[in-house]
Amino acid sequence: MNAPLITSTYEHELQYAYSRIERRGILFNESALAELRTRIAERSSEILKDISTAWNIDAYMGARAKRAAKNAPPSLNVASTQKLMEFLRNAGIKLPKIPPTKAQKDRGMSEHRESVNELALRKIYAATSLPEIKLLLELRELKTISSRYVEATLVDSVYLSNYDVAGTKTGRRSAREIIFGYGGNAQNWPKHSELGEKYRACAIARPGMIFVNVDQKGAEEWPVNALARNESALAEQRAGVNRHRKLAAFIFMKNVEDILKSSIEYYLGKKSRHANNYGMQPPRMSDSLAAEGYAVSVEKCAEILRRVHEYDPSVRNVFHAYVQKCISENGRMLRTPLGRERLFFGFRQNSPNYDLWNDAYSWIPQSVVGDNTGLSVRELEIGRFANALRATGAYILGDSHDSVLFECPANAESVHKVLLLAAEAFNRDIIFDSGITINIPIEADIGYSLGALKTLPDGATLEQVCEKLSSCERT
Amino acid sequence: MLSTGSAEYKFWVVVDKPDERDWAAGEICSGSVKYELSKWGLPFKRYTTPIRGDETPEAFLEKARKHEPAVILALGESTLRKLCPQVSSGTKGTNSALDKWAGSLLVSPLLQHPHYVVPTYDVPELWANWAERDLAVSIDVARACEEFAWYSVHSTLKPLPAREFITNHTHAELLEELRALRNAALISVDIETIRTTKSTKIFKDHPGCIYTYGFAASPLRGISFAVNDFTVEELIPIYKELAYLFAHVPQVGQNYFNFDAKFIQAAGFRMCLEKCFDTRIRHHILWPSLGHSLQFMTRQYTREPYYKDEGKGFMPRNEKLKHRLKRYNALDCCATLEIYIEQERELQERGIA
Repeated sequence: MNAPLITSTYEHELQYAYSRIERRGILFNESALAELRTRIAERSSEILKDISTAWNIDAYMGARAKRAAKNAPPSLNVASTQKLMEFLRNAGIKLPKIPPTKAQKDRGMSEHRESVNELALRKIYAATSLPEIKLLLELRELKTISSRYVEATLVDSVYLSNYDVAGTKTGRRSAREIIFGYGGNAQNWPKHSELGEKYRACAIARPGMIFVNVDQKGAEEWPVNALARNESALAEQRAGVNRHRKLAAFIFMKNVEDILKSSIEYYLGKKSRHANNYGMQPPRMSDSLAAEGYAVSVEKCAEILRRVHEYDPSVRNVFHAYVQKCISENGRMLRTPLGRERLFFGFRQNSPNYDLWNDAYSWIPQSVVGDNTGLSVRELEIGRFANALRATGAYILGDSHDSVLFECPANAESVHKVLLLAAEAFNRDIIFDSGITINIPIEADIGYSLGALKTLPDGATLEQVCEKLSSCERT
Repeated sequence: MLSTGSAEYKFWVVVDKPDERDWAAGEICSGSVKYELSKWGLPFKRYTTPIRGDETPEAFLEKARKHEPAVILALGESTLRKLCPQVSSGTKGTNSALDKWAGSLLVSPLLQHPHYVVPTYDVPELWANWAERDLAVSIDVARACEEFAWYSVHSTLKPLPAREFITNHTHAELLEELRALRNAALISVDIETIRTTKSTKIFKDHPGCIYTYGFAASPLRGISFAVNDFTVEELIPIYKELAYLFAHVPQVGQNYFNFDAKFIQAAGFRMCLEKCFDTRIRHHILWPSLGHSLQFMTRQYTREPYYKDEGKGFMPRNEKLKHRLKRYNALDCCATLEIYIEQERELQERGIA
């Protein structure tokens, strides 16, 4: 067994490193943010007007100062869960029963309940295709982006985030607003929506600086394949094969060349691999896809998962079996190759333990990747590479589990040096019980705003960095 | 008689009342409950009895007063509330008392002899929440058994930790205390903050400011002072002493990095965070699945009964409540240091220090 790298000393050192990192924050273009704020308000008003017209009501959101006029149409606060549920029921719309969220489960709730949360609305839309429901979903998105991100309190135009090394069971950092009410969670800024892109575009590098985002490539797939003892999968990863395309081609019985990265098949290939890795059952997978706007039936999900298992039986037969054996036979303890330990309370012999297995399957891969990031951050901020990083003028701004964001002087030499230092910091042999060793490679993007990052070639040379740098648009 | 074992035994397991299976079986905690209890490591010589059932609660009390059990393991919220009515005040919800007092070493005002009542959840509840079952057995039941083991050897109960809290220093005394802390290898630190009331406009926007500072260099002695215990002129040398401590002496706190340190730095102090420890971080390494609150860790690592309610209801103009807050602040420091010491032993044993 390797000497554990994940110790109390490590986590304290990492928390100390983050106490320095979190003072920096991410600069925002406040005029772009103000424009976005205005656009959100205008679009929200448009939506409320459209809903009011379609449903012949006076739709509004939030508190209302004035009472409606005597002959006004009935009003509906679409932000009120109870009022909206009542309205939809009266309109003859069947409300779906939604499983409890993780936070609700932690509070002891286990029943599925009628809801009008985002997942519920997506299911209603899938069942009815009512345009008003789609508008409600868009309104929710606007409200979420507005309240969590756009309206976050900046300090001198800087978005701050407080990182907590003890915030998750996997050892990933969690992030939230600074205790004095500034900033928010910089780890989960919206990414894949148009609005999310617009928001990220407001985050800009400081004058003379550029963002460098370093990402672990194929992150969690590495420990999953190592635990599944799938040498051919690991070989494909090392060779840079696009495994999601290959899986998608198998699932949907198409040629690999016909699977485009932008296609629904590619997306489903990626999601179903993830679902299979972590033991997700078809109903949960259907809900998860619905939450991202894709209506895929439970039956279809079951078929997809069956195909995924057929393609790669080692995930369930080897990886999951290993986890089950550790927990049921080895004192309910899982231990990652980096030395993080977790005792799984609640394991009950002769019971299905579904929730526990879902948690357990994801724990080692997520921990390995999160700790690989954490160990690298520690080395770069206060450890072996700290002086070298400081000498470039660059510094870390934060992490998002499998990636680290730097701000670096906007010249090719500094960017190239940061890439080399990051590669060194992430260069770590991770040896599993099976004897399989992985070393997760990194890839990097650069850009002057977080909405306009450009990918560098793997192992980019100084010339390649120079070329990419010159193609980046300053904001 | 549904009770099992002899009432003369000094370890009692008490439930509120029998269920249908118990009546059918003719014994309390029968069938699968009996099997479950057999796995808890309880003393072989134990008396298991209901408060009510085939006997009245008065008869139960009479029996307890006669036989004077040293340790009573109380299963369930109702049992706890009946034996220790003092824990019931102001609590709402199904398990609100147990959620606070589980594992605490309590004393029933209904019994006059020396004893401890150790409450925990009853078996059906633990079956419904299997993760809690492990905690109840390894913390609460284990504590009851340890107390009884001590009693069996010494014929007397082990006293609760006797801690000293100094909260009414003169100016000179406080300066002397703070100067003495310069020599400590590690000091436990805790702050209490004060905010405007919820009805004010600025409540949402203003996070509050530091009101009391607490320190402990030993788990058995803590000090605390409030910023308005002294004049502004008197605070200057006090703050100079604090500045030295925060900048040079290693500190330990609970959620120290993300709460106390933020306020202390905002107050203008420089801190040697690279030398500081956080019992929450240590607990996260040791027991990532568990909650990391000071309340939970106090239950897990110390013999200090639940005390977190003492920090509530503070009003700055009420001297009695202010004194209570300072005492609570000092106790937090002592409990945190005790937890740190226990965690150190665990970390070393597991090789993850």
